[in-house]
Amino acid sequence: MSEPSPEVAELATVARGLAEVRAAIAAACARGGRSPTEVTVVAVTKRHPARLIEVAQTLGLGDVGENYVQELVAKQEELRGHPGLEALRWHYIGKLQRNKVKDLVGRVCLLHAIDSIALLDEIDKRAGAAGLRQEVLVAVSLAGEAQKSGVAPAQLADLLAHGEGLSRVSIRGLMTMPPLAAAAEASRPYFRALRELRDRHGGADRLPLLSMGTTGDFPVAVEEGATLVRVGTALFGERAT
Amino acid sequence: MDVPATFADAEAAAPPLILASASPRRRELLERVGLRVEVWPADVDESVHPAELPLSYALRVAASKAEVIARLHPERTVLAADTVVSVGESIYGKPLDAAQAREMLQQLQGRSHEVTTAVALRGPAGLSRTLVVAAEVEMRTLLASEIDEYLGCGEWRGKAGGYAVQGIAAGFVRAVRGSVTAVIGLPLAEVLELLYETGAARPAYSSRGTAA
Repeated sequence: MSEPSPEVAELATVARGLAEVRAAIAAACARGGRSPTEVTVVAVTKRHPARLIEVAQTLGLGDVGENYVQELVAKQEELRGHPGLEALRWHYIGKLQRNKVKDLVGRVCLLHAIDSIALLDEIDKRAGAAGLRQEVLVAVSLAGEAQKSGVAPAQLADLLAHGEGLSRVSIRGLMTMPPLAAAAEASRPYFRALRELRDRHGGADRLPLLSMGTTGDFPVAVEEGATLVRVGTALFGERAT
Repeated sequence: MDVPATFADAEAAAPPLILASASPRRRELLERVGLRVEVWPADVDESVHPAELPLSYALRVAASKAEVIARLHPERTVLAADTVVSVGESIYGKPLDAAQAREMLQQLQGRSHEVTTAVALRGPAGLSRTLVVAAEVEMRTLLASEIDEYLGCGEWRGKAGGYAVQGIAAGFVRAVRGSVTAVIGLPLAEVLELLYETGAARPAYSSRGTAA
């Protein structure tokens, strides 16, 4: 029996990873009294070749996440015209600078890390110019000094109110990144705090999306209400850089 | 200079962990597992900032205490902690007087609340670690006369939420979901993991002699 080709071997590896991720999500949902349909896996493809996006899409993943604007744009150009990829939902999950907004509006279905009124205004302006509406999430910093990016909970009300006054921006929920920790359980208080913060600002009717949880801690995040988990290593292995 | 004859001697000669907390319960928990501890209580701003989440508050105060004491003792490893009692976003701090303690107990009884303890570790060579553990406490309904009696015994003093789970108020607490020691004031399992991982301490149960 001959060895599988590298392409088939890669597909099999990612398929295995995806099956494990889905099983972990299902188990976490069972523990949390939720349905697995409430959770979307965003396949984090940063620093991986565009080819892996095709592999992901082949396996039924409909959402990919990128952290770097240039990389996202380059991959979209590279994959232009590839069959089946028109329906792919792109997420920008990195830190967003104002001068990069114009490159992303219209290219991504969701921006995960908005943390200022200035950014909201810039997105509104660019989306207006492009004739479309941009969906975003507000990034929240829960650890204070330990977390430099993200809005403080005290500023959230103002940001949400401002967003509601903009016609080309739609704030659909919140995002957080707990401090790096060895054990998944260490992130639980942060996930719970984000969900409770969301509940105090209008609940799931106003802010349906909670982007929280990565390869290291997504089962805990799902138990605590995550609707978007950003998983890279569990699907594609360690990154080259 | 006297060179330690054995590794155990070298260990014994190492300065003890500094605990930046006046809480006798935190000290007792650490000493229970054989850790030698030097207490240096920290004086920091413990007021709640506007719209500050219980989690963020606990992290900020624990970090402040550790940093203040670490600056005074730059060659030593310093451990600090802060415990917050909360219902949703409402923080129940240490009551200033019995009247406030009564109000808190009246609100906490017959329902569940969260107890969050944040821990900060600081030390030489840039050692800086933080962890936070939360637990849910379910309190039974209390008689008004029970609250009066409890206030009379004074156990409420200096306790977040106005009660001490390991004291007489153990009879108030129907259930703890999560770390019991986090509710007492120091999540001991997680703290030990952190101390072993950073090399700040080693297990020393047998050095305590006969257990009580």
